[in-house]
Amino acid sequence: MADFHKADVEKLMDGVLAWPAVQEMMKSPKDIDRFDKYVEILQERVEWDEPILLPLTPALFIVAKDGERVVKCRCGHEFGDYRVNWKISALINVRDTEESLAEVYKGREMPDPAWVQLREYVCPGCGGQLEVEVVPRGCPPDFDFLPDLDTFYSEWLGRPLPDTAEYKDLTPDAIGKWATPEYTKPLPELDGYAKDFYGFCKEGELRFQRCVDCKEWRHVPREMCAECGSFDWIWERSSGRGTVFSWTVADRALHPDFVDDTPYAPTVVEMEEGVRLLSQVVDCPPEDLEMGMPVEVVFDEVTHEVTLPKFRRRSGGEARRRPVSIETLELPPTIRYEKSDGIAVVTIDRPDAMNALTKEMLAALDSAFAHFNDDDDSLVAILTAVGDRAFCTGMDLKEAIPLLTSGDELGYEDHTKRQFSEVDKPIIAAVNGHCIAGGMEMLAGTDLRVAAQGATFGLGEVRWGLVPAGGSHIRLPRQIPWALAMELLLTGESIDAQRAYEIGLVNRVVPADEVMSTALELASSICRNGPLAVRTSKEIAVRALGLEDGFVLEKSLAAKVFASNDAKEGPRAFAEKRKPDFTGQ
Amino acid sequence: MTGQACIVGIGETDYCRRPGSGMSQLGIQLQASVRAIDEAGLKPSAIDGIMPFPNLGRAEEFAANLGCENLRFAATVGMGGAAPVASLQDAAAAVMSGTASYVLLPAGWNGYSGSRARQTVTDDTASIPGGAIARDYYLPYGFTAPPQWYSVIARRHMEEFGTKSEQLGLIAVAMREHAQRNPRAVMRGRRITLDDYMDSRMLADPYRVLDCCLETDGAAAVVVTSAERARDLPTKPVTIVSAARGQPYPADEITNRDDLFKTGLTIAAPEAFGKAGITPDDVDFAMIYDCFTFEVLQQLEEAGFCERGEGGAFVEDARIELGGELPVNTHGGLLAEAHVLGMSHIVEAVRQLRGEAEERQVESAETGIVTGWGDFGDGSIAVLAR
Repeated sequence: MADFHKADVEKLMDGVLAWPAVQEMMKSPKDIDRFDKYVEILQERVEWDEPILLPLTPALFIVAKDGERVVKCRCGHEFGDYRVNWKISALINVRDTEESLAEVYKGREMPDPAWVQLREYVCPGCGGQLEVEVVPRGCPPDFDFLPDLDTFYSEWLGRPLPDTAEYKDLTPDAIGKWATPEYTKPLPELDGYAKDFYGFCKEGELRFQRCVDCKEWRHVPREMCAECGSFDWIWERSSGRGTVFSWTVADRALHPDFVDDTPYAPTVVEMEEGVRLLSQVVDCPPEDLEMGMPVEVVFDEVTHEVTLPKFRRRSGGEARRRPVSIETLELPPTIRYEKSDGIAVVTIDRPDAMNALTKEMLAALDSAFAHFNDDDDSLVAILTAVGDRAFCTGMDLKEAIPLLTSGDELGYEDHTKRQFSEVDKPIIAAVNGHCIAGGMEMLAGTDLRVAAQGATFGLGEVRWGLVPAGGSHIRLPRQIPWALAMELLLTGESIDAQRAYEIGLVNRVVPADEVMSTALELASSICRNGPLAVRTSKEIAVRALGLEDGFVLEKSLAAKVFASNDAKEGPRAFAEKRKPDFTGQ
Repeated sequence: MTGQACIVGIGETDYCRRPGSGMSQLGIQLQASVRAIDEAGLKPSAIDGIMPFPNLGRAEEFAANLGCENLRFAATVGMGGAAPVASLQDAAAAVMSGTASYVLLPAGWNGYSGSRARQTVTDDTASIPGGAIARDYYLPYGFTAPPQWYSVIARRHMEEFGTKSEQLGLIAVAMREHAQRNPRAVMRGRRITLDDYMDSRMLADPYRVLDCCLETDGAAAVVVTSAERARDLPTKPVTIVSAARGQPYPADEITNRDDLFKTGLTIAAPEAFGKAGITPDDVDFAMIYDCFTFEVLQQLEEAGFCERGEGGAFVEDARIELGGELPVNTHGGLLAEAHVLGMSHIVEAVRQLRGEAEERQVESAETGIVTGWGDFGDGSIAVLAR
């Protein structure tokens, strides 16, 4: 084993070691002494005292601190447990416009911001750049390196980790956000009818047995109908709505697994269908429970196998949705809402970011359309965007990344709904530029569509191991022929406006400067008709499609894809400009 | 066949919590059995019928230990706490039909030092008929034990009829009062007031700790034979005038009942009173299975001592205490004597009718009833007379 001087190691680190010496060092096998000298130098160069266990990058180190192993910047800023991707708590500068990318890429090498974005991860402590990655929109931050510290020390260095004695795994909570916590409470035995009942719950559906002959609903599951004697029954979908019938408050657990839950309230819910179900109301402290309180089902995935139906409060009676009044309609500058002559125009105004949507913008779109739906002055809405490069390119990743990686849901909490699900009045899309990914999914929620000649339409998600889970799988095959819908979904390739017109995806293709006027013409001709008739006509057409089951299915199956290795490999391959190596895992 | 079968022997172990019985579950039941057989003036070999409590032993092991070498009749009624009284009905039928001559009914457990009463179902979901339903649809939500199951019914009763916590409290207080006169009662020397009750900790709201039965070690047993054979035995026979049983619907699931307050006793009580040719007004005392206070109130209603919804008012004015209109559970019951699965209720009824209840004696007691309550509301009732 070669023995190198500490000074030479230091010169190597600083890039000032003479080339022959560098060559000699590179030729010799990795040795413990050199590692130790390297760490010693690093330790001398930082102002803090926590022992470095392993360097991660020139600026980041895994250090032993008070019985934990945390990632620490040379400036002293700490990112938390080394098993949690430090990028999550770094500052992120995203370059996803041509202008911002042009600062980095010169000339022909510049990637297309419709598909890719560059992220710079910056230390919140010192402002130093720690890492850069170029990945497709929607790709979670890459977790570059999760070292096996124990094996490295025991097998490569031949000694235990220096903090073995005081190391306590204090961060299961932090890790728990990324992993399903161990669930110790009693679970149903998934055989017989319980397997079916909970199987549907896993798919986000509450179903009860219903007699085919006398239509009687029943719960718990039985072999036959006690009302009429029939053995024929189906699993019928419940409305999911009910009222509180009775409850008990367990102030003291009578089963050891529920000790930490007290006080909790096992609650009997009487469903609209007449059957009663023992469950819990999750968003309601026991003291707030009331007889007859309206509740609706929510699903609690407690393990990979078992999802328990639980309930949450709902507003009672006819109040199907919260009305939004114009006084309370506060919109960010990126979403504009104007109305005149019965037509509401909703404009996405963020052209320098390809009209990508932030979470705030999504919420603003929802409130704008909720207002439109409840506003008796407007009958038709036109949805358009500023600029000619993009109509909408989907979610803004600067925001989507932390959401995605923290397990937060980007979609609607109610899995039976998608964008515009609750809008009963016609929406006309006026499209110019790219209408892709989330933009395309939004388009599928509109009714009439006018496209500029240069517009393109596509769902590229599968190319990167992902799926478009915003309702496209359900809406698109009902709007254009099957084979063509599948071509868009499965090849991930975009089509131009002319092709979109040919397959019936859009109503008109016009020169770019005529898009808005054409949309207004269509809107005006609708406005001449009976408002109740127009509104009801759309409501019938949409509700008759019965999309809700499909949406729930899409949500639950897509979740498996997002959790897969392919969903990581796709974006990674894209960033590395190579063909993805999909395993189907 | 009514009026021709009798209880001729009673036996009990000591009832205790700490430190526990020090015997096995079978052992304490054998001890009570030996005492009952002995009191009846019989030898174990005379016992040719055994009806063990569900899940607490098999007739075969009782017979093999006791020396019942002529066993002819072995059966268990799967009605939980309603089993002992329902077994009286079957034992009476057996001795009247000649299926057996002397039938032993044992019951007992180490409900304190062994597996706690509260865990019966969660430890073994097959132990009750609705166990698999509880396992799949109740337990995952922490709806794990009888006080929780029954309290959702109690809450509906309070909602629909205005029944008050204070009224449940009166039942708890009355049972404690009775226990003060019972040397075997675990709660002897520990009197409570209504204030104590209201101050006691919530367990399964609306049930407080003091609404709930005790968890104790102990066993009791009785011996049943025909009136004819009873004449040759040393004890004063107590006649099983009539008995009946019933189940709620559905019996294996507690939340989906059209009539939440209809229990097994709703069916059984009219039958038992009818067969006996009496009405609730003719009864001198009632031994009501008192797993929880509300179940006493509810059974008083369903047995016909008052109208449904009037149970709260019925238990007021010390009506159910000794000296009241209808003394209930003069031994203190499951709430204040010990949890002997309903068998000690039969034993106490026999003592009252023999006139052996000492300081708890109901004056000139001639007719009494005993009820049982089990699982998700199974019910049983017997009319006994001296």
